[in-house]
Amino acid sequence: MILDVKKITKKYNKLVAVNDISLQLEENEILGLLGPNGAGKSTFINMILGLTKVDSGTIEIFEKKLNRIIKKKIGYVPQDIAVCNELNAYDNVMFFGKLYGLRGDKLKESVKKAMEFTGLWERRKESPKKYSGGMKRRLNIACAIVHEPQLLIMDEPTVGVDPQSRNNILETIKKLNESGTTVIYTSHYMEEIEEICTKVAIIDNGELIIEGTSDSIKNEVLTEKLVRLQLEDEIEKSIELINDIEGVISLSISGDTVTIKSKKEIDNLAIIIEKLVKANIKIISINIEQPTLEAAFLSLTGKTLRD
Amino acid sequence: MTILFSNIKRIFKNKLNLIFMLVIPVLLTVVVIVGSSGGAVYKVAYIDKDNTKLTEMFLQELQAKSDTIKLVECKEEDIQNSLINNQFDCSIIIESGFTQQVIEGKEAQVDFYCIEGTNATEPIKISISSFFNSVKTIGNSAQSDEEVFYACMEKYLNGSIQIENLKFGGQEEGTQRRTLSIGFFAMGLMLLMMSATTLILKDKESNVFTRIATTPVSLKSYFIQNILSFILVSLIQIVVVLLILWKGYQMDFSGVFLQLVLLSLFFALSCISIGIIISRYAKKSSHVNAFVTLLTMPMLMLGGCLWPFDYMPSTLQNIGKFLPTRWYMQAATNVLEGKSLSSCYIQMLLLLFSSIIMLVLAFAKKVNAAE
Repeated sequence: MILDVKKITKKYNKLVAVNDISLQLEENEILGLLGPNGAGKSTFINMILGLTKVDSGTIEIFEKKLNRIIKKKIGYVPQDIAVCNELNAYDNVMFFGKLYGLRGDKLKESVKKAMEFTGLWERRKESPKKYSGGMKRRLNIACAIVHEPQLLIMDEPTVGVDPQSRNNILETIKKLNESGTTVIYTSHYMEEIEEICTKVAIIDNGELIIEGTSDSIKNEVLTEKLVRLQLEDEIEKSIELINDIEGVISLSISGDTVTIKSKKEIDNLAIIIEKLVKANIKIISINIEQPTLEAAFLSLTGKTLRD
Repeated sequence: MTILFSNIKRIFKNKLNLIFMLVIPVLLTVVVIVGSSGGAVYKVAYIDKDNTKLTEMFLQELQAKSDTIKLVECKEEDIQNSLINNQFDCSIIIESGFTQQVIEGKEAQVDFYCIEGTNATEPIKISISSFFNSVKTIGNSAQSDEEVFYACMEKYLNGSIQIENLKFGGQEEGTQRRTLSIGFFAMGLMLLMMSATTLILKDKESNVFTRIATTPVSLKSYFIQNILSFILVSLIQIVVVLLILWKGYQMDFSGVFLQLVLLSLFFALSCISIGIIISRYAKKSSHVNAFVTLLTMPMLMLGGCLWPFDYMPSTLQNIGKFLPTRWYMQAATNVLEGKSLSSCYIQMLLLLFSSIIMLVLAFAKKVNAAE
């Protein structure tokens, strides 16, 4: 097991930042940590990294308590760009490589590998000040992966970057994971979490609300499904026909579109279409809304992720 | 030692730090050297109404000191205006019959004119007076015999008595200039160290500090390496600047160089501890910059780095006695005056203990790496 968190709690005076959270992470997983601002994500990560003291509970990384040797196996990508602006990009990666104990040819090779991996090798001699936002983010990652960590903790690494750079960063994370790195990833962007994470944990008000795969969370949380039908005419008649079908919870009309909310476990779409066709009501389009993590999050916390 | 060497690189890559390190102490010292009168040449106007062999000998003697005196013949009617307009520093008029009176052993004198109230030309006056006192003595001994008189004069001028031709101002002025240059050097040292120590705050602001805390390097090691890097940078600055002043600008530090380096290191440690305490308690770099500006100049002024300490009113002198700048200047002055390093042990202990107290206070603040 890479990470074993047992019942950890952290209080700041009366404020409970993290309350009795337990979480396990297996090798080669990508854990997506979700939660609105102030949910306790950063405190949770800081406790794993040893930056914040734990009030109660235990954290084991690689089945041991955090120490210098364990720290060599961890990489950390902070939310803000944390590099020395006085040094060029290459020297920055060298600097962090040395801090993790790399020396000589191994250091040079690792720096080259990390910079090539993040696509910065060609511009390694430039100052980070001259880099674009996306390049700075990639340099931030290069500094964290230069020592080839087994566990990589990334705190919102895509904040404020353009879509192209974001895709680039997500691809980098996937590649790292494929090469055997276990990743803890926090983000405000649900679609990112859904795209890359094998496991999701949702934290709110310092508590772990739910954990599992993206699909298992959606299945567990979302009990309803939505179907939108765009009709040519006879909207009122269609309402009468659909209303009595088994599983339908409610109906709403917006222009020429009828939105049908049904119980998730009852498959009634074929019956709905059959009834409308028999009544000579023309269907222009059918839109089945897929359950999203965003909806699950909303359902669980009563708020959106950016609240 | 990764942080130590990285810090040195970061400090020297900042152009402002290079200005603090070299330009301020060296440039200000050069300004003082150029501006001081020690190396100036005096312009002396003369009118020789006597026009004899003796007066010719006298003028040749003055001409021989061409590195300090420039002789220019002048008309009597122009002398007053030339002196008022600073065209000449002083003037000499040798009246007709002067030589005859000297040879006859009678009282005779050369007229010397300069602007009243200034003593800048006093060395010339003394030099002329010295020459004619000797001439008078020879005149008395010659007993009106012109041949004997000139024979004696020849022997006197080519005699075995060798007079060393020192520059006006002498050793005391040299010490003053060296002390002032050390004051400017203290300014550069203080500014560089205050600027360098902000690296700790910059690391905090940029989250590099937090990031370093997640690496195998302990925070204790981080701070120790930072302090060592600042000491190393200050040592580089001390040696380089003192050597430039010594070898490049004739500030004679021979015999006291190592003592000055050691004293300067004590002072550098004091500057580093002040810088660190500011960086540890300040929230932003901009606050530090403002605070350093507010702190540095008064400390330098009250410590006697920018002008002689004795020129200040006694109240300010009393305040200055509690400042590291004063302790450093006192110790450096002692060393420059030829006193041994042991005569400065009180100042050195004061610098050391105040540094330790400030460092203890700086690290008394709890470190929160996740802040």
